[in-house]
Formats: sequence, structure tokens, C-alpha cells
Amino acid sequence: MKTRTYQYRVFFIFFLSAAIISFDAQAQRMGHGASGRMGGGGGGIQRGGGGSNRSINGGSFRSPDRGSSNLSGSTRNNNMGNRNNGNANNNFSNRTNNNNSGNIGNRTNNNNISNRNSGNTRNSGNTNISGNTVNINVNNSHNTNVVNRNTVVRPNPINTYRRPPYVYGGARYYCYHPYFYHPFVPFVGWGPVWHPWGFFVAALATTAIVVAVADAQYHYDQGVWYSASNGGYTVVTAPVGGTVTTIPSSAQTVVVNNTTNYYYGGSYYEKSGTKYTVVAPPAGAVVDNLPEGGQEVKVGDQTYVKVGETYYQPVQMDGKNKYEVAQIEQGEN
Amino acid sequence: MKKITIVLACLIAGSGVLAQAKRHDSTAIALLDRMSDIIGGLESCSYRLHTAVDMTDTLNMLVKEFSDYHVYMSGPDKMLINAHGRRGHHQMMYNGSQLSYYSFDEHNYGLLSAPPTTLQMIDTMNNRFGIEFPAADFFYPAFTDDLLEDADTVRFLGKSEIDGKEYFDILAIGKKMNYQIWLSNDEFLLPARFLITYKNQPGSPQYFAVFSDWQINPVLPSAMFDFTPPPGARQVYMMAKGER
Repeated sequence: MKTRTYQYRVFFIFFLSAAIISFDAQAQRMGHGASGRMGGGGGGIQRGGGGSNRSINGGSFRSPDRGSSNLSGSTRNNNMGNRNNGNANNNFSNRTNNNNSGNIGNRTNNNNISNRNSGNTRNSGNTNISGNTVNINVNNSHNTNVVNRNTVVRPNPINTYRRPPYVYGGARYYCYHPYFYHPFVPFVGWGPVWHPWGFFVAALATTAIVVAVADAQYHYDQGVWYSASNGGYTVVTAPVGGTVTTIPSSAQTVVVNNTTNYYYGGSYYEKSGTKYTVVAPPAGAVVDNLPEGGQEVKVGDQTYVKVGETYYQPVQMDGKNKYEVAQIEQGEN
Repeated sequence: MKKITIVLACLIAGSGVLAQAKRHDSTAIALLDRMSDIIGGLESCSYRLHTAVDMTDTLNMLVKEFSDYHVYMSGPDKMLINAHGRRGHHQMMYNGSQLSYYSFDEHNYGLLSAPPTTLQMIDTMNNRFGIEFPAADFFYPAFTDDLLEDADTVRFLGKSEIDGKEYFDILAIGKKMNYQIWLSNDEFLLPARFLITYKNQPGSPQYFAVFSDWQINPVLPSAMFDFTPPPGARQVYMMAKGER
């Protein structure tokens, strides 16, 4: 009996600790800590309902300090002063559970995208992340080696957006056009000399030129940028600041806030005199196609296409499917 | 010694003030406990839920948005939700190790590895991905305890009749939210509807939900919780909250 009492005490202390720790992160309509206490359906110390092993929640639970239900006018210690209140946008449910299963992972991704932040679960091909949940078997069937140098979006003044942003996960996604989902299909119509990021060639055409940007040296040929590697050349993202005299005639003209940009193969250029300079993707730019290497990402309820660090929102203009460069601002307000 | 006596007196007086802070009606608590006991004894269930949620529009006006859900639960580790409404039409399936999220509107789906029990899965997925699990609060084993901890006042308002059916009407007044819960006055005492008022938000928005079509311990084959991608559906990556 003593042992049992001791077990109850240990459990109670543990449950109080777990509850207090987890409250900050809870996003629920009512405050609960039940699954943290009970381990979900894993049984409990006091059951009023006689939950079975197959119970949907492990059986009901009453705090030992409550005793019977006759609590009229009584006082209970409240250690939960820091609960998240609900939000009408939130779910009527849900609390943080510090008892997630480990050994979860195994996201198979054929991409080899080197620009992703370390620590991001996407980077780990086979992860073993205790307490985390990861995507499973996302196979985008791309074989790209994206080295991003120009995919961080150039923002616009927020007040130029007349639409409210889409809000998810503490960030706001601004676009000039409404969300209109259409499946992402990588565009391959940029001609025979165009190659996706990560593509490797042993030798360059004689038309290729050398372009120095900062301290790095690149090779440019008909809208495609290469970097020397492994005895050959790998297609890379166009380096911001790289200047050339010609871009392919099929480049799309994109006007954003009275500035004309030229878009080709996933890269943006601005013209100055007779030269074209690589620029970062301007927020609000609407393009017809996206290159191989893009990945569809479900952001809450909306699906964007992520190319490097740029999020494109699928939109529709004049009945045609297009993509707009989204501007992402941190914070929900 | 005098100082210690004063401090003790203050502490006792303070605790007396706190003691007066909570008023919990025994009838209401007994009803809620009974409801939790019955839910805790379920091995499977299904129900429909209709929700009306106040959302703030671009002009900071509250507008009502509606959604409908059909929820199935089996054992401690199976769940299926079919949802129509403000977030489009989607279906979630949980089989004890994986949660699938399929969008009928976009014909795409995401797969997430999931903790081993339904409640853990709900916690994790809501916390990490903001995924909604309608009315999940009622399925937490310590529902009454949690309500009591948050609410200073829990009152049994009496019986009320809605559309010819009788319900027990319970009101809980929390610091930031008020809850009104209607339980069916029948053998099962299951939740029938609830209203949450967010007192701490501009305009005091509300979340109102009505249960219907409760099925007690239905036979639900395991296979219905296993996701098979529909032909042509595209798999997408699910971005977690805060992920960039």
C-alpha cells in the first residue's frame, strides 16, 4: 500500500511538472493536460469510467485531490495560471504533449537541396527525432542540387498589398492576387540549352562566358549559370549582381511596382542600359512557369511551391494558371 | 515573533480570498464526470459536428464561418475526420503511426509520422501543424478537472429543451473564456452542443458547435483508418508552424 501511495505521489508530481511545462505551448479551446498526464490511452491512476485497453482515451481521470464530485463552493489549487486561451481561429482541443514517440522520420526525398537550413527536418533524409513529427516519404522525383544565392525575396511595402495576408505558423504571406490552386508541373520548355539547378555537364559550349561576381567566378551561357565543380560544371542559381549583355529572347517580362524585370529559367534580371543584372525575386512578381526543383509545400490550408527560399503562390490571371512570388513577414499582426 | 504572526495572518487571509474565488456546482461536476466516464468507456464512436466560428475579417468585423465534420474513433489509436467548410474539404486518417491529410479540393495529400495514441497525435499535430480536431476536448480523460482548474465558476443552469429534446445546461466562467455545455438528458449523457466565448478578444468572438448522430461502439474496420492515395493525387510536404 505504501508503495502504491508513493507511486501516486511520484505520478502526481510528474503530472504537475508536465502540465506546467507544457502550458505555454498549448493551443486549445479549453485548457487540458490530460494526455500529458495519462499518456493518451495508456491508462491512468484513477478511473471513473472503467476504461478498457481499447478505450478511445484510456478511460476518464479525476484528480486525487478533488475527491468526490461534491465540490460546491470548494477551493481547488490552480497551478495552471499560464494557459493559452483559445482563439476563435484555433481548434477546440489540443495541448502540447511532451510524450511523443521517438524514432519517427524516414522522409525519403530525392532532392538534394543544399540551401535548406540546418536543423530543419526537411534536411534529414532519415531522421530520428524524438518528440518531433516529420513528413513521410515525400518524393518529388526531382534530382536537383540547388545552391541558392538569389532566392530570398525582395519585399514590397506592406501597404501596397490590398489583400489581407494568409497567416500560418506565426508568419504572414502577402500576395496581390488571390490563392488559386493548380498542381505544380515543372516547366521544361526553356529550350535545349536550359538545364535545371544541379545539372552537371562535363564541358561548356564555346558561347559560354566567364562572369565574376564578388569573389566568385561563374560561367554563363544562354540564360544558364554554371559553377566549376568536380572537373566539370554544375548549374547554379543565377548570382545576384551577375551582369550579362544578353538573356534569352524568351525571357518573360515581369513588371512589379513600375519596375520591369525579366524572368527566365527561375532567375530574375533587371535591365540597365544594355546590360542585364541578376536580382533577387521581387515579391509580387507573377510568372507563367516554374522550373524543375520546385516543391509543393502545404502551408496550413494552402499549397505553395517552394523554389529555393522563394514561396510562390498559385494564382490565376485571365484564365491562365500562374505563380506569384509571396512576401513573407514574420509575426501574425 | 510578532512579524511572523502578521505574515501568517496575511497568508491565511490571502488564502481565504482565494478560497472564495471558485464556485463549483456539485451537480454540474457530477454531470461532467458522468459524461467523461461514459466517453472513457467507449471503445469506438462516431459523431457529426457542425461548428459556427466567429472570424475577424479585413475590416475587423466578426463574421461567422461554418464547418461540418464527421468523426470516427476506434480504440486508443485510430481516428478519421471528414471535414467540409471554412478550410475546404479534407479528410484526415490516423492509424496509430501515421496521419494522412488529404485535400479533396486540391487532390493532394501529406503524410506525417504520428505518436502512438490518438490523444498524443492530436496534441502533436495541433501544436506543430495547427491541424484542427473538432471537439477533441471532450475526449481528454481529465476533462472535468481541466475545466475546474480554468473556471472560477461552474454552474448547473438546469434543463433546457431544444428541438423537442431535453438537455442539461452547464455554464463555466473562466478567466478568459466562458463555456456553456449542453449534455443530452438520456442514458449516455453525451455532449450535445457547446459554446465558447472568448472574453479576452475584441468583440468576444464565439465558437459554437452542435453534435449529432452519435454512434456508440460501432464496428469500425481497421482498414478505414489506413490511407491509400487516390489515383492521381499528389503528395506534398507539410510545413510545420514556425518552419521556414
